[in-house]
Amino acid sequence: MNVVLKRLVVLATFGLIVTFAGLAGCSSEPETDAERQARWQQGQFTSWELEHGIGPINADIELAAVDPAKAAQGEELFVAKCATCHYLDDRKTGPPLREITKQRSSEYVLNQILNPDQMGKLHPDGKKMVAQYAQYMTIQGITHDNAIALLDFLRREADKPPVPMDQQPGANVPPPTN
Amino acid sequence: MTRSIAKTILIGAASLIIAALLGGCGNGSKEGVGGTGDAASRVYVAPGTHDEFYAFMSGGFTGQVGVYGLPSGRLLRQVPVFSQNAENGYGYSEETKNMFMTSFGFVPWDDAHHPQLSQTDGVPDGRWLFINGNNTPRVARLDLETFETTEIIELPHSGGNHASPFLTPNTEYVLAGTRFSVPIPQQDVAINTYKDNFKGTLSFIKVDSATGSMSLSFQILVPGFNYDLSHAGKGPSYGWAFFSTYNTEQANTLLEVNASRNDKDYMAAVNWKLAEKYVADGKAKAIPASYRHNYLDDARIAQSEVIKTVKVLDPRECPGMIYYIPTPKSPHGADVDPTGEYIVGGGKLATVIPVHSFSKMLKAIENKEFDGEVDGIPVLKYESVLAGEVQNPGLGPLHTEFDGKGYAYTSMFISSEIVKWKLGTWEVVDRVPTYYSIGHLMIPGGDSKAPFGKYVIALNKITKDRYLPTGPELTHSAQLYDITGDKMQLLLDFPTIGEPHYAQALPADLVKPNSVRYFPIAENKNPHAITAENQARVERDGRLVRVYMSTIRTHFAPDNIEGIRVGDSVLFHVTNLEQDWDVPHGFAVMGANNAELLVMPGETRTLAWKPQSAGVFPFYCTDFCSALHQEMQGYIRVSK
Repeated sequence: MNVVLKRLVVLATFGLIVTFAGLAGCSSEPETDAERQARWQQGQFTSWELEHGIGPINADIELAAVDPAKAAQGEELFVAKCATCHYLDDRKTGPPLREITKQRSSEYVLNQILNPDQMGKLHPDGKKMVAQYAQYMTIQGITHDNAIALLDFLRREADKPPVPMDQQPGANVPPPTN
Repeated sequence: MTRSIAKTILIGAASLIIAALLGGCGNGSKEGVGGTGDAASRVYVAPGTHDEFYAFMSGGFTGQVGVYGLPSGRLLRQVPVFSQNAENGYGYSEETKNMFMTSFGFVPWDDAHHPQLSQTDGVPDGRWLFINGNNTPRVARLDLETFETTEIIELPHSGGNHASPFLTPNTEYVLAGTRFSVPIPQQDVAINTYKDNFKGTLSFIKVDSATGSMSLSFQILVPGFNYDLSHAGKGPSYGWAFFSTYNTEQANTLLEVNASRNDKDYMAAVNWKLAEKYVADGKAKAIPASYRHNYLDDARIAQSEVIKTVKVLDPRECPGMIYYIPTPKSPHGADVDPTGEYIVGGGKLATVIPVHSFSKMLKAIENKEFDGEVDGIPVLKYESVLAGEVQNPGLGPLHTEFDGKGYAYTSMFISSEIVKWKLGTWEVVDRVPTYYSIGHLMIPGGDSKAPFGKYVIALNKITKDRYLPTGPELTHSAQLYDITGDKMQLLLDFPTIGEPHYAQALPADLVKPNSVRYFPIAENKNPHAITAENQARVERDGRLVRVYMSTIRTHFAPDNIEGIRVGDSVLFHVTNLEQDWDVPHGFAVMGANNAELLVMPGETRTLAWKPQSAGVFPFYCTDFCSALHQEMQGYIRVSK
């Protein structure tokens, strides 16, 4: 498996391939979903997939400027679905996310949100994260539209300075009661 | 893997050889040793693959239902029904406690006997499973999308809900006859006034066709016999129901002798369509009663309602509604064949298996071929209704199931065997030993209009030497036989949970696609649910403290709770925020006097806790959820 993977990377580096079909020596028939899944299960990824992740996003996407309304919607979603495990500025169950849109491509972030199971179990970078945090990212049933909203929220936050822990989105220190 | 297959085959072969040796005399060796090698492969379901059938076996006195895969016999799950289950908090959590409410208060145990799969047009449809509680008369309904008990209805005027919960072909009604007759209404009378003061009831519980919700529609007041088992008619006998009786002698002491005097007891034939009409026509009398109806509401919280009246029909005022068919002797099973023409009585103490004919019964009624009456119920002439008798079937015939190919299979308790016989000719064509003392037997769909066939399962009361001994208390067992050929062949022998009293099975495809994986958090209607971690909080209302807690891999929020005082009552409302399959979280807190909680993804469950002394007490997740499961913990501080 690793041999195939290395070969892929090497080939990609030399710019000898553009598509996986070319590598596999098949005709130019487009790859079916089943073929793609089988390939992923065997640990074979295209250079695009290595960079942008695996999942429903499988080609470059055109991103408009951050939509403030969408970003606000994304913040609500972040509080409900993501803040259980993520701060923006520190490690929680998972990694800090303030600069995630600078560290990874938008396509990668969307695939991680939409396809956390396969990203964690199959994708080389996803597997590294699982090893580091000893935890698969949980499936939260997030829709494509909601993932775009989350992405806009993360893009909006990316250039802001860090904030104290009690101001992290969704932060909640339950008050003792008496 | 190859080695494990070989091992399985060896074990299978060894057990069959032992079986053959034990049953080596008489009919015992019929399944032979020759086929043993391939017996193992016929029940082998490779790792990671699924069984062909779901089997639901009552757990008898465990009050639970065991779910098994067939043909492997693998135990898939135990569903708690009439017994509290500390493992997941069923019957302990605030949301489920009400399921155990009865007119006697909280009754956390019952004796569950007869699972019945809901039917559409006479065949199992995979929607619900009904099961009776004998001791404190109740009927429960399990939802086969979630495999949990969602409803329990109590039965008034019943002394032991044994002839229950048999279903009409479209699940219009659950039938429930009382085993023990009792004074109705209950009163303080001398027990030896049984004949004067004790009555039986046959209950008809209406089932809502969309939701499955049960309501007690009416009861028929019947003579004080023991009503033992039942089945509804189908096809031509649709609209009728049959109940076996014993103790028509109406003995009240030493029944083993005194209830075995009559050569024949009765099979009650009830025209429930006519009974329904009598109720609609206002013939039923509403009499006082007190019973509970418990059900999970939209918020998945058990509600318990008290109902104070029930409609009762008196056969004296309802001509044509019920007849007695004489049936030898202390009959047990009341089993209707797939065509709906034959009603088989398991004549427990009889030397024959009597089979009644539905069409002959109608003719006998039309021609008034009666042999007297009991309390206004005409007794039909045995010979006028009889289709045939299976001669010399064995000893102690109890129950009969059908393969849909013209054959019937009857369990023989005393002679520990299954006897296969042909409908119409009544000749015995095969018999195999069981190990030991078979009670019910079950063919997938074997009491329905269209049996799925393939296997018969013996549900045995006694195992003795069949397994490694475990002290004086031993497991019960089930045995799986192939019935696809002329000869029944023993394939597998497996231990069961509690007493596998009766069972039902159906193709997995009727249930599997509908199985719920998690509860969408957005649809959680529990008033104490939280839908995001930042809603986690602690609220005080006088001495009551509510902890609104969330769980997700791998922490609780809040996980440090302070400000609790000795004398407070604490309610932990735990919401599992996971939205993925097979990620429950557990919640256990030191010193809890009840149980743990197991909270399914998207669900909220509540545990009550009373701090008894000042100090700091840990709580933790009990269900191994991830690599950081051991870190999933918290503390609650209790002050004076």
